[in-house]
Amino acid sequence: MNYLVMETHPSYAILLDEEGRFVKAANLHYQVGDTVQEILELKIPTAPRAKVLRPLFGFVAAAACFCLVFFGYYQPNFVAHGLLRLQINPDVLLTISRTERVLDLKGLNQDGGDLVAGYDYRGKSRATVLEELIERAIQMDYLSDGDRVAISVDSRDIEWKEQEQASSLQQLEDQYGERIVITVGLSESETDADTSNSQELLQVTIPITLPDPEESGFAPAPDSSAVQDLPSPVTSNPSVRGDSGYGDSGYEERIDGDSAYEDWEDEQERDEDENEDDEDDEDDEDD
Amino acid sequence: MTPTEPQIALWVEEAKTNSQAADRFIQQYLGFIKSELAKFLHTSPDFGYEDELSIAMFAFYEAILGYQRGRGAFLPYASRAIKNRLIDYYRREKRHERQISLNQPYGDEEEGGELLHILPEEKNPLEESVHRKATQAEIEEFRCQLEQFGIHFSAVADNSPRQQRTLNACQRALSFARENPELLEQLLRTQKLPLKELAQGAGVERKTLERHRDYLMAILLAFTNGYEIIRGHLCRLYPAEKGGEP
Repeated sequence: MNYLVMETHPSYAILLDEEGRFVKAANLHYQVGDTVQEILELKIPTAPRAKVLRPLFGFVAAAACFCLVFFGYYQPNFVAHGLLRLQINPDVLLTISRTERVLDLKGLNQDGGDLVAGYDYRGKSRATVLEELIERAIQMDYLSDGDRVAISVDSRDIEWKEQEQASSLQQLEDQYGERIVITVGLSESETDADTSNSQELLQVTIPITLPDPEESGFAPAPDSSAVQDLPSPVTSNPSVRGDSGYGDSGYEERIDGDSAYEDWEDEQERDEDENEDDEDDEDDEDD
Repeated sequence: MTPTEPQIALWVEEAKTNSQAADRFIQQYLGFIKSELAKFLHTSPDFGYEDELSIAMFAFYEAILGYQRGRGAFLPYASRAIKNRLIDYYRREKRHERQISLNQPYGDEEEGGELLHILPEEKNPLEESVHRKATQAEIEEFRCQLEQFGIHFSAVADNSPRQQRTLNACQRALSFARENPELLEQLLRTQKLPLKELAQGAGVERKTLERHRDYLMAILLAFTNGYEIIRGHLCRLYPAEKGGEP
C-alpha cells in the first residue's frame, strides 16, 4: 500500500492511503508530497475498561459460580422436587430431589412411624430407600405375600412426576411383582383406614373427658376397642346431647345444637343403658 | 522552574485536541525524549539514530493521546511508552538483519561512495522533483481549501473510519456522491455535507456518516476541482471500477 504524505509534524505525519483513509504515522523524515510504503501507524492504547467495572467482574464471576453450584449441584440434589407416598399398611412419605435423592422420610401413621424409625435414609437414592423400606416392612410383618402396596408421586413437574411414578412402579414390579400387588395412586382402603384411624384417635380422647366416677358410678377408662365397636362416631358420642350428664364437653361448639341428632335420641338412650350394663358387669367382676 | 505534575497533565490534555499545542509540548520535552532514548541505547542519540529519535518522539505523541489523568503521572507513562515502542521497532528491524543497506559504503571509502550510487536510476530525478513540487503545491491548495471549511488534516485523520465495515459504508456514500455531481456542487455552495441525500442514496445509516463528517468532506472536496494527483493516488477507493472487490 502506498501512502501519500499530506502533512508533517515533528513527531508524526499525516498520510493518505490508497483507500482514502487518513492515518497518523511516525514521521521518519518524511516530506509533504512523498509517497511511502512502510509506515509505523499510530496505535492509541485503548483505554482499559474502567476500574469501576473491575469489582463488578468479580461479582459477576462469583454470581456465575454460585449459579453453577446452585442450579447444577444444589438444586437437583438438595431441593425437594416431589413427594412419593408409599402405602403398605404403614404409610410413608418420601421427599425426593430431582435427581431422586431422598431428602426426607416420615411415617404418616403409627405403623409408618414404626417402619421408618431408626432407618437412615440420608444420601440414599429413591430406589434404594423403596427397596429397603419394603424389605423392612416384610421383616416387620407389615407385608406378606399377596398384599397390596400403593405408590403415588406428586410434583409440580408433571413430566418428572409421571416418569418417577413409572420408574418406581417398574422397579417394584421387577423386584416384588410376583409376591405382592403394586398399584399406582392413593389406595382407597388405605385412605379409609387412615380416616377411620383418625376417628379412632378422636374417639379415644372422648372418654378422657368422661365425668367423675361419683356421678356415673363407673370407672372412667373404657378401652378403645369398646368404642371402636360402636357403629359410628356420632352414635358413639354421648356428649352430643345436652342432657347426657357429661357437662360441658366443648363439642357443642363444633357440632350444631340443632342438628339431626335429636332423631337419634332414643337410640342413644339405649346405648347409654347398654354402657351402664357393661360397667355394672365390670363392677361385679371387681367385687 | 520544573513544571509540577498537574501542570504537565494540563498541557497533555490540551495537546490531545490541539495539534499545535502537541507540537509545542513535544518540542519542550525533546530533552526528556532524548534522555529516554539514551537510556535505551546506552549511548548518545545525537548521531546516527535519527530513526530511533523519530520513533521515540512518535511514542511520546502516542503517550499524549493515550494518557489518562486519573491513572498516574504522565512522564513515567511516556517513558514506558517510548521504551515499548523502541523494543517493537527493534524487533521489527530484526527481520531485515540479513539485508544490506543501500547507504552502505561501497568502493573507495575516501570518495564516500555508497551502494546506492551504483544502482541504475529508475526515475529521472528532475522529473521526480517536478512531480514532488506539483504534489506539494496540490496538497497545500487542498489544505487551504479544507481550512476554509474549518477542517484540518489532523482532524480528518482522527475522524477517519478505522473499521473496514465503516470504511466500506463511507466509500458507498462517496461513490454515490461522485455519481451525482449536483451533490458536490451543493457541498461547495452551502459548505455543508448533504447527509440526508447521501444516507438515502447510498443506503447507509445517517449516524455512520455523521460520525465521519470531516473525513467525508475532505474526500469529497478532493473530488471537486482538479486535485489530479490526490485523485490519482486514491486508486483503491473505487476498486469496483477496476474489477476488484466491491
